[in-house]
Amino acid sequence: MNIQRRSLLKGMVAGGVGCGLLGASSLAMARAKTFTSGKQQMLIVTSSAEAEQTFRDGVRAARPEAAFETLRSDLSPAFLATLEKHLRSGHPSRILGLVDDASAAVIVQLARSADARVAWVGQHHIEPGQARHSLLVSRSSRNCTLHFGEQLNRCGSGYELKEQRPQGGGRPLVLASARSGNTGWGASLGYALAQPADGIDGIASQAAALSLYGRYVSFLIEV
Amino acid sequence: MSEAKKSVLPKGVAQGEFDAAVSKLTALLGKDNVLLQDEQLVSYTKIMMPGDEAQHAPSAAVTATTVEQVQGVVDICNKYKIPIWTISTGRNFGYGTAAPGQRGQIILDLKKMNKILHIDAELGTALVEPGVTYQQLYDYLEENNIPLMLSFCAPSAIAGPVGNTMDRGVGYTPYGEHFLMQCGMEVVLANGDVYRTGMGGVQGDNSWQVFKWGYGPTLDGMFTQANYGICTKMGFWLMPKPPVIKPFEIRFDEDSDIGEIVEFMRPLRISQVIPNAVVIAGILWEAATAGVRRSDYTKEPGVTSDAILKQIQKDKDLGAWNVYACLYGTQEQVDVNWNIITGALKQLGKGRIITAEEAGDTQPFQYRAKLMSGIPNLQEFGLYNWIGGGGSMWFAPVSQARGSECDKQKKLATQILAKYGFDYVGEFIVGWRDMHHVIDVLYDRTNADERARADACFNELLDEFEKEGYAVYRVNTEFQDRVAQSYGPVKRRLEHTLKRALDPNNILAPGKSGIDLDKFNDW
Repeated sequence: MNIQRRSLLKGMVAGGVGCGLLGASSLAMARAKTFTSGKQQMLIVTSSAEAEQTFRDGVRAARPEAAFETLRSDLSPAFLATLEKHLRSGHPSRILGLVDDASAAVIVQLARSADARVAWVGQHHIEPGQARHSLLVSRSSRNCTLHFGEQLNRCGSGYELKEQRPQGGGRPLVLASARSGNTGWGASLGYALAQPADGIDGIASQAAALSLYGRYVSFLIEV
Repeated sequence: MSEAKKSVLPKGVAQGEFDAAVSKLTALLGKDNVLLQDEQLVSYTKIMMPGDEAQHAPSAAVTATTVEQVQGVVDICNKYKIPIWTISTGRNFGYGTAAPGQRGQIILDLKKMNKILHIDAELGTALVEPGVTYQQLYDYLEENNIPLMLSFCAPSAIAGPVGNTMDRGVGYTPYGEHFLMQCGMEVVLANGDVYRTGMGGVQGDNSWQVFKWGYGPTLDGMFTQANYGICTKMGFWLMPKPPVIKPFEIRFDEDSDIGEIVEFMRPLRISQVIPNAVVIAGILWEAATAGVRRSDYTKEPGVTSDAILKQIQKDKDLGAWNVYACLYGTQEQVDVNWNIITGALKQLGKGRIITAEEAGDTQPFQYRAKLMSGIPNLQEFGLYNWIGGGGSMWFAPVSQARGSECDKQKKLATQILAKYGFDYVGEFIVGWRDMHHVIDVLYDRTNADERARADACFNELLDEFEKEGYAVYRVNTEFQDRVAQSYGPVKRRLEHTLKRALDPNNILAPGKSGIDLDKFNDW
């Protein structure tokens, strides 16, 4: 077992995750219970070019064969109309994103109105030397948290990660690493939310190299 | 069939009873309208208040499309003693969002009751269901060439007239005091009766949306910011779209100008020379809605320095205070009032007018002009990017429209916010004789210390303002009990007396505005 996985697993134990979930088989089991299966359209929404680049790299690493569209968020009627069209299309699709707070406030609201399923909303605060990830997740996206934590460890990131699962389903995960780096969290997040296909075991280090500072909101929406 | 073993249940309701209620709700509404799974409920649970999401987690959410279904939901919840938290669009953001006031309540989401029932173009009236949004209404008026204009709050496009009016929200046009423009409503009571206010109970009546008062006690107000019934229809007045709409701004350079600004505006407002609810936006509200982020200027935690505020003012060509107002009417009417305003401003000797032509498509002028012209837009959400982090609580005391009041409130608010490390991000909305002073307490919810400070700050704002004789007109669900205390024990006893009579099982939104039979004991 490598050092990074040991560090993650220690954190998982600290967060109250039972021993039955530890080990390489744990994430494989998690993949078997992915939020959804089958072919879906995928839409990536980001609020800046930097966020798009790193987040998309992570998505691509998780799902190299998947085709996806990208959309830049803002507060314009055109963006709202495009997003609504996706939310109400009736075609199974997954919308994942990394946006600013203003966009997120609107996007989550529109998802609710359209009866879309919101499995994850994350608040992320990243500064040099400090990274906090506060996640509001459903039971079905628990594996996303595990993937995210694992990738953060692989990237050598320092972070605090706190999960909230208001509907219950076990103790929420609390993970932390005292390292000082902040690279790669955006790609790690994209990777985690895209829910890696079978046989994928992490992001290539190049994809994970980009730094992204500031405050962001991530989400995973299924239509 | 419900989820096996829910971890979130209504207070005092066992799993078996909850399952039985859910079965009945499913039979009534259809399984697609009874939401139990985590990922169906996360979006209802996302909050901007400092507490934990777990305290506001619903046990379920149900959607209804007819009055009969709403009656059915009320009947089932009465039988099983399950509290319901009703939302229309659920977009009151800094006042609590869509989350229920208490853990375990079932959300009754009326988003699918979204019919525009009637618009009368000649009388300027509308009758709508609770799920109708302002954007939907705007599109309807445009598509049908109906020459009426809307008034709405800043979340405009995605918010709705019923929810905003029932919470006594305000807008920025001459019809900006929304509850004043409400005329007739239909309410499902806790006993299942359907009550229509005003003229609505008269068979064959056609003045339900034109005459507010009806006969005997007029009860519309008691259903606003309250939990005595579920509004299923609401009538309100729409302003005829005038031939000329002239938005303008007056910029004032010094923070200390606020008193003089209000003394200047009040007579113009009372005489209706300026007929709309005027906004006086402080520098940070103005800057944030123009797309400025705090991180553009500093990474230092805590209060943004005066030097930086001045720099932002200079860089972005903004005022320390930025007054937005509008004239409406024929060209002759607008010209007369414009001359009065410019003459008065010349006498004041300070302030710089910016017209729509001069502002062009710059922000925030453009979004303000749209709000005053009844055109929905979401630009004001830029406030949430000033700090980021997802925390927002609107602290909104009211006062007389006097300069001395503004000055006092602004100084007190700034001092308290600074004590806890938060910026003053505020504006005054000048009504006819009153002012709503809306301050957005913005903070980072990923930071546990900041959440604790935001909570303490909001409490201190309430306490210190109350000592000066000020109370807020509206508040988020974590503070509704505290604010109810500000209004005194007589009001609370009366409200609970009414609650006991109308909803003895305490199932309609217990806790709303501090009204909760389970908690009240000051009879």
